Amino acid sequence: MAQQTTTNLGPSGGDLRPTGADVRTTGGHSLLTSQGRTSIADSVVEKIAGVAAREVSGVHEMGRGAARAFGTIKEKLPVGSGPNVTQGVSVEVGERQAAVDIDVVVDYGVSIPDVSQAVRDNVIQRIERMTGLEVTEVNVSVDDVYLGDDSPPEPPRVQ
Amino acid sequence: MTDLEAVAAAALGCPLIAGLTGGRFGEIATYRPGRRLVGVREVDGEVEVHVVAKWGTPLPEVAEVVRAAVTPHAAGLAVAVYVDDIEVPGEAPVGAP
Repeated sequence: MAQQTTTNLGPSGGDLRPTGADVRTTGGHSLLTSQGRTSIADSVVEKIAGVAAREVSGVHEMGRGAARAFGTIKEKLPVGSGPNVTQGVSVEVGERQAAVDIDVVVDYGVSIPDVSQAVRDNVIQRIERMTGLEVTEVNVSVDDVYLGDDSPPEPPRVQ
Repeated sequence: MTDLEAVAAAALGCPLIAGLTGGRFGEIATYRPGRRLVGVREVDGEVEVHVVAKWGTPLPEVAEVVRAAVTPHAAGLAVAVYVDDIEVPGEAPVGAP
């Protein structure tokens, strides 16, 4: 059931991730002004992407299998800090651009291409508005389909 | 000597930020006798202010507001604003155990 659909954004349809000097893998991104620098940390971009993806209806949960299992346990701990919004999100942030990878679990019955496009649009819009970074690509991986847990209990075999 | 107490107070007065942050290990601070100014330090002739933004406002704008508030207290030094974290609605506040 763990079917995977990866959809790429971009005019050429290929892997558009810049591999050259434009994308750094650590640190944050800086906006240089005449009065000094502004730097936005990668974790901030990650959080924004996580919240933006969750906002889309049809997205049930985020993260790969192991992260979801671990996240469920962590959420139930009394000392836990609630849901982790960056679960299932990884970003690469450069000087002016960002690339985002997102793992989602969708609800059963939704159109997966439509939901992944909606996730992509919302993530791009949020990141571009809130950080000023240009988003070069958003890769959405649908890792699973949530079927619900409301299946009727089996009738007892003996009366 | 830059008045970093005033810098920290001015930054904390900005309504767009949730607070100052000392980084993951709390090491970003100015060490003063008896206390620590978390999230503010002077490095290489530059005043660094590390903030946790509130959700909703574009971050470059948040940084500009912080910079505008801090600059009068920075004794002519450049002000570098680091948005190190953002407070997400519905999530536990940043820095909570």
